[in-house]
Formats: sequence, structure tokens, C-alpha cells
Amino acid sequence: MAAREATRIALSLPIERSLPRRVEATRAALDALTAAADYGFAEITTAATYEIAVMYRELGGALLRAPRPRGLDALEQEQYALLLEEQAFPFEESAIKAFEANLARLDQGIWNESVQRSAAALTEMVPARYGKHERRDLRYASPG
Amino acid sequence: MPHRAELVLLIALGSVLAGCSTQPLRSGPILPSMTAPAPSMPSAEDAAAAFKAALELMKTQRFDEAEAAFRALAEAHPSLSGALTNLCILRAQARDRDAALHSFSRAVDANPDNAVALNWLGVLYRESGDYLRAEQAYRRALAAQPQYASAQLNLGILYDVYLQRPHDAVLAYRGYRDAGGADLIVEAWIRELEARHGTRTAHSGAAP
Repeated sequence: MAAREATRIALSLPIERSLPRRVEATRAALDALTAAADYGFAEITTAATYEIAVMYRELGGALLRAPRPRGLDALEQEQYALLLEEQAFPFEESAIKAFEANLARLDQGIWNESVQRSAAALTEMVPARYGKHERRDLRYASPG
Repeated sequence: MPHRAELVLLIALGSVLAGCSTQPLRSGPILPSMTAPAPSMPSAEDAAAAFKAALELMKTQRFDEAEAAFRALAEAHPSLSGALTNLCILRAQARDRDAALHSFSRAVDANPDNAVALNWLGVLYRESGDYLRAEQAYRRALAAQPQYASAQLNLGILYDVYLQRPHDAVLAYRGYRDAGGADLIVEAWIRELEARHGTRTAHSGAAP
């Protein structure tokens, strides 16, 4: 519920006003989800972890898609975009870590929709590491 | 005049090295002049040390020097498929796919059990859309080296993504796991395919 409320807060101009509201709502949702993740039941823990990852991912995405202030010249627009990317990066990293935490539960034999969706998200977010790409040896270590 | 056996050796060496490129080799002729004395063959110990040194150059990304070192080694020791394979890998990374396909085919001709070259061939065939040859190359790599995890994984990806054969993909991915591949994401692919296509089987070995 708190998660849905947080994602409903769009980042609108002026961003310095909308961003704190969004971050605050996200923090409240994350607290609730973290408490749920600590229950110790696999289904709940994996579902909460997945939602935590989605919260981070959506916040990062919202920052990247945030509207640009009017009146910026080309250089300022570029700098503004870079600034948003810098702000979004830690949230994307947190999302990846949470998805990976769910994937790691496969080691304990846990496989459910949340783990499955986490794996799919990792394929999208980190294709170089989690995509279906062939491997080839870049060296042949034996002389013979 | 060189002896007949030396001439045969030189001609064979020329055809093997030519396999590493459709273009002339970068520095100088492939073969020594027929009128020049045959090069003296370094000992096996020297060759091993030279191979190790060349490999180190490759590891440290001194590619031009590595290429020269492997070329010299391949000329002196044509039966050492390792030098030839690394020469081909260096060229495959720098040149177009058709040339690379040709190069690795020649490397496999020199050593039919060279699983690394066969795996490379499989990837190159897949990239060119020749899935049948890709499958054959991966299978030959696995016949030569059944626990070769990269070829198991690549065969699984070929079945999974390109040939839509989920059952075979699961078997190959399991083969990858059995060969020591420990990626959880591959385990997730197996579960996903099993769930989506009902491909759960008792078999846990490599794809047939």
C-alpha cells in the first residue's frame, strides 16, 4: 500500500519540491517492506525483497525521466541530465543488490514468482552479466 | 636444397598459418625462403617457456607483441595448436567474422580435439545464423572435452534462444552446472524453462 502511494508521486517541476515528497514516501514504504522481509517466511521475504528492488528501480527511473526545467541551453541541459543520472545511479545499484539477494535464495532451493521476476529484472538491468550471451575463451592456456 | 621432408613440413606449416587470416600476415613472408637454411627447432622446454611468455603478453593486453610471439612459435612448432589457437583468437577479435571462421576451421583441422577453437567456431556460426553448424561445433567441442563448461552453456543458449528447443536447452544448462558452472542465473534459466515448458526430467547429465 505504502509502495503504491510512493510510486504515485510523480517527479514534477519544481523538482526540489516533488523529490523530497517522493523520497519520504519511498522511505516509509521501504521501512514497511523491510519489516515484512524480516518475517522469515520464504514467500513473504522474497516478495518483499522484490518490491524493495522495484521501489529503488522506479525511483531511479523517475529521476532519469524527470522533466527538465525550461530555459536551459544545450550545455545546461546536458549537465542537468548528468546530475540526474548521478542521483539515480545509487538507487539502481540498490535495486540490483535487492534483485540479486532474491536470486541468491535459489541456493537454498527457493524458487517462486518473486525470485523468477528478480532474475528477469537482472537480465534487463545488467545484460552483460545476466543476459544469455555465449562465452568464449580469450586465451588458450595449453601449448598443445 | 632442403630435403623433401623439410619441404613437406614447410608447405604444411604455410597452410596452417594461412588459416589464421585470409590476408597476408602482417610482417614478412609466411614461409622462410626456400633457398635459406631451414630454421633450427627450439627444444620443447624452450617452446614451453616461449608459450608462457607469449601468453603473459596476451594477458597484459600487449596484443601486437603477443601476436608476433605466437606467430614465431607457430612457425617453429606447427604441431603446437595452442600457439595457433591464440593467434586465431587475437585475429578473431580484430577482424571480421568470415576471416575468423576460416581461421578457426584451420586450427581445428590442425587439431580436431581443440575444444576452445571448436567453441569459438560454434559462436561464430551462431552469429552468422548457421545454427546447424553451431550445434555441430559445440557438440564436437564437448566430445573432445565433455566437462568444457563454456561449450555446455553456449549449446544451452543456442537451444534456448535460437532454436526454441527448451528440453535440450535444460539438458545443456544442466551439463554446464555439472561441469562446474555455478552461476545462479543459469539455475534460474533452468527453473524458468522447466516451469514454462514442463521440461523437468530426471536426467542430470549433458545434452545427448
